[in-house]
Amino acid sequence: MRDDNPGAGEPGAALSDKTLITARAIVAVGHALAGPLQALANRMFILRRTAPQTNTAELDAMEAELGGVRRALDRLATLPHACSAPQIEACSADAIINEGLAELGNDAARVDVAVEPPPGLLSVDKRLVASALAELLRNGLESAPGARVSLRASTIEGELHFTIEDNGVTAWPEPVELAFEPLYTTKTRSLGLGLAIAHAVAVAHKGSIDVSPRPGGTLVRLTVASLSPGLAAEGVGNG
Amino acid sequence: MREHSNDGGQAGAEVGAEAGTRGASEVKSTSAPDPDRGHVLIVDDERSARLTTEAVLLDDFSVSLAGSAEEALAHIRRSPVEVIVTDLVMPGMNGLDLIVQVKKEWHFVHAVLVTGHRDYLNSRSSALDVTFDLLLKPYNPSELIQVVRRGIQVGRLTRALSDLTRTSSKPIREGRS
Repeated sequence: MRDDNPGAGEPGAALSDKTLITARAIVAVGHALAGPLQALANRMFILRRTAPQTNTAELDAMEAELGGVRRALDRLATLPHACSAPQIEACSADAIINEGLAELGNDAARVDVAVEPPPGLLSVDKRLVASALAELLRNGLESAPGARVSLRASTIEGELHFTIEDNGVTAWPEPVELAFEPLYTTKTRSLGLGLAIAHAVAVAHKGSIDVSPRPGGTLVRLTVASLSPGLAAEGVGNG
Repeated sequence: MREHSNDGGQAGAEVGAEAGTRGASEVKSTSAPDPDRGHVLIVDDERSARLTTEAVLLDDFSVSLAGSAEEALAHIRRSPVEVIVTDLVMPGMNGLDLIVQVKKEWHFVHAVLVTGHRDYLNSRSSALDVTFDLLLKPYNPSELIQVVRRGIQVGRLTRALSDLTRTSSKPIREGRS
């Protein structure tokens, strides 16, 4: 954490009003889209069954597009999920890392994983932490064409520490914590939710996130605390 | 879209609901319950959602429709079902409370909750002591068919096991008549 910007990335930091409002907007939009998209999926299914020889390629293409919409909705839903109570389960750091890498698809090949899987089980929301990790890795991979990212992980006193370092060029704001706000982006094709999601996940797990721009790349540290089920029930409010 | 129905030409004869609108409707059995196929009740306040879901399931199961949780409960009291597929957000009783009520009264009925509300479930479902399948919209319709089929199988096996246990625990009468 940089000394001149205390607060935003420190353990126990709260989510901003903008984050909570954005999370609510995502829920509202997601719910408004869900019904019509489901009706579309049902009608495509019926069309394929009633006329199996007709426009198969077009139906395949439409179903692929719908799959993309489904994945986008799931990714967006991570923010409101992180703003509500995390769903704690016992899992290994290895499982979290594998799930995070899986979210990247083929891009995971550009991640150099130098991880000694920390032993033992952690009490965290596995899906949330894996999503936060994926967002940070994705951010590093998008820092330059063909950028590579290194990932390290360790556990210290019940906390899981990730270090993500890229070799790209990212135009970070000043102060850098502004990037944790939803909808902040310097990219042309980005919603600006990746770091907001990672930050919300860190807060939900009483952890922290720290971004350190440096010559030749950026180093990001994400820390999440292993929560007991009792802590999980407290959550961070129902945003 | 063609409305699938085996009700003697009365397809889509839901009272008080226009296509694509929300609102009250009478419970409609779209096909005569067939014990072998399994009887599924779809509960959704939106008529177009009921009809497209019905069309997805009708080739494999006997299907009935209800426009609200209250209608669904009244239907199950009259005509037992093996699976309910319910939307979450509806006027009156919501889908999650409907599942709780159904499980309390009809233990062997399998429940499938469909919703686009991801965060609502995060905060509520874990606090409830009921089991159900969850499908997040937009789900793959093939997945719904699989979930319903498995629910019917599990319900029948559980019921058979319960019957067997009850029978075997009865005292054995001595002698023969």
